[in-house]
Amino acid sequence: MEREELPPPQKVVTIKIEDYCPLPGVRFDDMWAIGMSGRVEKNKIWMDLDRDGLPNYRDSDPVLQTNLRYPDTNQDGYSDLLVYLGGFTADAQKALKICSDPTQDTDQDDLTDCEEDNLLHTDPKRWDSDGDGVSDGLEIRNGLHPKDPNDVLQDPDSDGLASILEVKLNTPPFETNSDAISALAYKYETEQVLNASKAVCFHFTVSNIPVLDVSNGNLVRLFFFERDRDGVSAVNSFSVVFPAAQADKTVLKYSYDSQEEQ
Amino acid sequence: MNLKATGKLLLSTLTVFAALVGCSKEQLQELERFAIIEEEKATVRVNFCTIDANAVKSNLKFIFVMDKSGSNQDLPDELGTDKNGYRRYTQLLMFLKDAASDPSVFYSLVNFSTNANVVSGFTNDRAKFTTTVTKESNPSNLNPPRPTDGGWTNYLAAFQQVNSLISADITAAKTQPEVVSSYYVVVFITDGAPYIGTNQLQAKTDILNAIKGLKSFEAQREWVESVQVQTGFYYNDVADATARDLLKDMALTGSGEFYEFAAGQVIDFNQFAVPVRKVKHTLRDVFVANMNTVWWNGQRLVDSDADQLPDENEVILGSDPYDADSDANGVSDGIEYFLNTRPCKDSKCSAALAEPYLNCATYKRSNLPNGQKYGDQDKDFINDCEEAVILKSKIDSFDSNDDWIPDDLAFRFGISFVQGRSEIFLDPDNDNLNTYGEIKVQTPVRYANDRIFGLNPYEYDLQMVSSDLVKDCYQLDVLNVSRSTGENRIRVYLLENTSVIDDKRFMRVSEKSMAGGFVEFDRGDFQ
Repeated sequence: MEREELPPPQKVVTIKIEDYCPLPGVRFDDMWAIGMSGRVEKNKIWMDLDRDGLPNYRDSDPVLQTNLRYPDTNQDGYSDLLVYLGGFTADAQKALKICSDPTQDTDQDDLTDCEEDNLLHTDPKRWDSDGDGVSDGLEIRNGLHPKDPNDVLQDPDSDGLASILEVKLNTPPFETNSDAISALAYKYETEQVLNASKAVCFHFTVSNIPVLDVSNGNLVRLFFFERDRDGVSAVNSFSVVFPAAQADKTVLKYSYDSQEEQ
Repeated sequence: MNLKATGKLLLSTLTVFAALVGCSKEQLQELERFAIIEEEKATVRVNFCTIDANAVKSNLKFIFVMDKSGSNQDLPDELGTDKNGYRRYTQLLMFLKDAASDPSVFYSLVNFSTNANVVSGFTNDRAKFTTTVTKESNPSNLNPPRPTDGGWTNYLAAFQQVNSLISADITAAKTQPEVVSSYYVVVFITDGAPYIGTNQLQAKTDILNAIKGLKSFEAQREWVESVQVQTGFYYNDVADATARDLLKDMALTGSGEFYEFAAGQVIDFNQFAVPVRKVKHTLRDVFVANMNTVWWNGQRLVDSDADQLPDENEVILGSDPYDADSDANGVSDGIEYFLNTRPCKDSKCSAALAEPYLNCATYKRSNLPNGQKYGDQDKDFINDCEEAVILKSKIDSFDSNDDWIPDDLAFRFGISFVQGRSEIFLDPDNDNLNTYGEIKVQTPVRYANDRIFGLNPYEYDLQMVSSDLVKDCYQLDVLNVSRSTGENRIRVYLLENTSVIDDKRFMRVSEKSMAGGFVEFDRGDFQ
C-alpha cells in the first residue's frame, strides 16, 4: 500500500493549565489530555461529532441503528461504540438487559454501569478495573482490554511507544506511527514551580492539539494522576471545549483550580 | 572484526575441527551452507484481517404458563373463554410447527388452576414438545377437542413452579463443560384475575414480588442473560379491568409486553427469537519469525530443521541438522537438548537407543502426517508429550501462561511459558528492551543488543486498511527480517480477542517459504 503524502498541516491549539498544586503528601504522577472529538486511524485524523469513540464515517449504520449525532442513539444505556463492537442489531439491542438508568456511570470512566455489568463484565465502581493506569473507557476506545493489566505496556505496532503512551499521545496503539501519525501526536511540557507558600506546583503545556471542524466544539478531557502517601492513586479531571473556528496556534490558558479560561 | 569476518573465521575453525574429528567430505561441504546473509535483509508483508465477527452462543428458553381454570369452559352464568383450547394452544402449536430447528431453543410448559404443575421441563426436542402440547390441549382425545379445565386461577402457584424450573435449570447448566448463558422467556397466558376462592383475590404485591424473584436470577450473569415475563390476556367481550391492570403491571415488572386478545388477536411467538449477536474481534498482537535462524550466544545462526539448535551445533553434537527429531522418538532435538544438554540419549542419535519417554504413552497417536508420534492438541507446534511431560505446559492452550506470547515463541526465546509464570516484562540482558520487546523484533533475550555488532532488529510497519462491523483489516510490513542461504520458513502469528460479552482468545498461524528477499502473506493464508 502506498503511503499517502502528508496531508495539509492540521490547525492546532495549545492548552496551558496553570497552578496545579497537589495537596501536602500527595505526589503528582502524570497529566494527560485526551481529544474526544477526533480519532487518529488509517494515517489521518477523523471527526467524531458525538464523541462516542466511533469516528463519523463508521458511526451511521442502519442495521445497528447507530447515528453520528448521538453517543447512544437509542438511549438504552449501551453506547454506539459497544453496539458496534458487539454487533448488536436493533433487535438484539432490545434483547439486552434493560438498563434502569441509561446514564448512570458510577466510576465516571465513560462507560455506563449497564455496559460494565452486562457487556464488558468490568467493575462499574472502578475507574480502572485492571489497575493498569488506563481507565476502562479509554481502553475500550483504543482497542485495549479493560481486564488485562499487561496490554498497555506492550507495543503491538512496534513503533517504540507502549500502548499506554500512545493513549496519552492520542495516537493509535495498533498502527505504527508513520510521519503522518507522529505529526498528529499531542506534545507535553511540564514546568515545576514553587508558589507563594513554597508549595510545589506545576504548569502544563499541551500543544499540537488538533482543531476539528465539529459543530459542537472540540472537547478535550484533562486527567491529572496523583498518588497519596499510601500509594493509592487517584485521578482528577475536567474538560475544556474550543470551537471549530478557533484560530491556528491559539494558546488557551486555564487555571487548575477554577477550571476556567483566563 | 565485523560479523561477516567472524562468521568466516568460525567457519574455518569448524572446518579444521571437522577435519580433525574425521568428518566426511560431504559434511564439510554442508558446513559451507551455514551462513546468515547479514548484508541483505528480507521483507515480509502480511495482509490480514481479524476473524469475522462471529455469533455468540446463547440459549433461548421458553416457559409457557397456561391457564386451565374453570372459566375456560362454559359456566352456568358465563360462556367459556376458550372451550376448545384454540386460543391457548393453536397459536403455540403453529409456532412450534413453523419454528426453525434450532438446538439452542428450549421449551417447557406449566399449567395452573387451583394448583400448578410442570407439564414438561425444558426440552429442545420440538417434536416431543409438540406432542406434549397437543396432548395438553386435548387430553381425552375428544372431538371437538377440549382441554381439561377446572378450578381457580392461582397465579402464585404458577410462578412458584416457574421459579423452581429456572432454578433447577441454572444448577444443571453449571455442571456442563461449556458456559452457555440463557434467555428465559416466560409467557403467562390467562383469562382472568387471580381468584383462588369466591371473592378471594391474590394480592398484586405478592404477584409482582414473585416476578421480581424471577428477575433476580439475572444476577447470575454467566448463566442468565435475562428473564422476561410476557403476559397474555384473553377474554370474551368484556375485559376485566382488575385482570388487565394486573397483567400490565406484571409485564412491566417482568421487562416484557402485555398482550390482549379480544376475539382474534394472537401472540407472535417469533418475536422472542434471540437475535444473533456478532461480536467483533480486536487485534491483540502480531509476531513474525524466521524459523530457520536462531540466536546462539549472541550470534544469529542457521537452523535448517527449525529445532532450535543451530546446524553447526548439531554437527558437533551428533544430531542431524536436517532432522528436527534425529532419534525419531517423538521429542525434538531442541527440547531434548534443553532437558539434558544432549539432543539424543545416544551419541550417534540412533533410533534404537533413543529415550523412550514411557510417560508419554497416552499421547501417542496413529496416522499423523510426517510420521509424527504424538498429537498436538492445541496446535502450538509443541506436541502433547513435549508439553505435558517434559515442559509442563498446557496441551489445551497455545499460550499456557496467558501472557499472549505463544508457547513455541516463548520456548524459542527461552522464557517461561508454564501457567502462572510470565517473564515478558523482565530484561535479563539489561539492554533496555524487555523480553516482550525482544521477541517482537527477534533479538536475543539473554544477550545485550548493544554487544551484537551490526544488529538490525526487525522493524514493523503496521497500518490499518479498513475497519467495519465485521472485521478490521491491516497491512503489516516487517523489515530487516533475517535471511539464511538455505531455506527460510517465515511464520506469522496473529493474536486477537473479543472483550465485549465474551472474553475469548484466538491465535492463527501461517508459515511460508521465503524465496529471495520477500514473501507476502494474504488474508486467505490465515483461514
